Amino acid sequence: MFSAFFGHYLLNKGVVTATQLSTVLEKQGQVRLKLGTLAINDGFMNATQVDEVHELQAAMDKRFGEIAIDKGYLVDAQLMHLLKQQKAENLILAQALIDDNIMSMIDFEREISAYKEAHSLSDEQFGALKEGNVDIAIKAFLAFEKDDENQYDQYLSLFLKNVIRFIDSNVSVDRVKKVSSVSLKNAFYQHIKDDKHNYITAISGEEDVILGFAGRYADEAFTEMGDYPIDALGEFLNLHNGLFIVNMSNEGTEMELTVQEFGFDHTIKSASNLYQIPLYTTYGTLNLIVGQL
Amino acid sequence: MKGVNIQGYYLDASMKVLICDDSMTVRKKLAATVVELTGCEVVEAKDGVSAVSKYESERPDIVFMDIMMPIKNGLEATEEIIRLDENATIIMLSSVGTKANLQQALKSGAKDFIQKPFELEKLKIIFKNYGGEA
Repeated sequence: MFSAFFGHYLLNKGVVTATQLSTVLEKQGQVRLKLGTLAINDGFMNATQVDEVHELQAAMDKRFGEIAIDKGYLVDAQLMHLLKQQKAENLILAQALIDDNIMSMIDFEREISAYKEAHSLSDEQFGALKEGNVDIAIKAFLAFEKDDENQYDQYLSLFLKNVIRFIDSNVSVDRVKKVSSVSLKNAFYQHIKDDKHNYITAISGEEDVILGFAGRYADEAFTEMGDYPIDALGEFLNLHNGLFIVNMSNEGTEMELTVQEFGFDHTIKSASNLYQIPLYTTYGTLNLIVGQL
Repeated sequence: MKGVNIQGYYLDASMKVLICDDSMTVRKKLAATVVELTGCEVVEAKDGVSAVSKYESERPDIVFMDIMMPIKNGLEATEEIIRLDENATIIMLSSVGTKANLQQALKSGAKDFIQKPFELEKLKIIFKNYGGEA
């Protein structure tokens, strides 16, 4: 999650190219942070000790941590701390960018500070982003009207979780934009209604993005728009909205869904509040629309 | 004849399963999972009217029925099938697993309810409860 959010920030800023970002995102699953580097970084070991452990490692069939503990350079708690850090997404991303000579460690740290400042991220929100806590991290990007805040926060948070769960772990969002009318290409839309409200939800995007996204959900390689990809993405929207309604019902608000629809060109207008949220995915940019009619 | 072993229960591999859902994506995913899990024959219907006629002609052992479908919804189709065969095993399948929908499903004659996305473990329990033999 952190890599997707920060990576798309670097892309929008022109610090990395789309190809570099996609290579790094793909590669980061294989990147393994070196325990020795982390141990030096945290001040647990010095470079001489790390080199010595590496040399011993080459001569015996033992792991870095085991040797360092045998030599008295690390204690168990320090090793556990380092092993946990080894999985930290922000550090993995840093190493992938540095390994590929896309940026230096100093550049990385500077961009991280600029990113926190640009999004006014609190330490808690930034920590949540690094830990993949969608509910907390997402609030930094949302700017719904006060009356809409609670429901739409929940809606968007669940939407991101469902995208991550079913389609794309590299999804991120940009700032929410309030609009009164929006013209969409390849629009999948569905109404959610309760006694007093008629909400609209929609996903749209360029054809190649829709095909990639729908294809991942259906586990098919779609090459052109047709009944099957349209059905697949419509079903994803329906599935997500269904799960949202179940959550709302558990909180005491009963809602209903209409049948999801598709239009190659579709305009949504609202006299009330309508929000557009850009979603950056592995397949390109999608728009999520939520609002009240 | 005993067939596939699911959690200590045996399924007759000659069983037939009817999947009724207007979404092609759901039908394909569920059919592939059912075939892989049980080896049973699967037939499909994409609306409530077709679900009833397929039930009459195919007499499946288990029916998975979506609620929201065109022409005739899953609740109406279930009631009609139960009138034809009061012992029909119909499992309601819906993306909206609210208490109200669960109650409606059971009232229409469905024996169980699955919230989409269906999970393999839940399907195993369904086959164990309604298609298995200890």
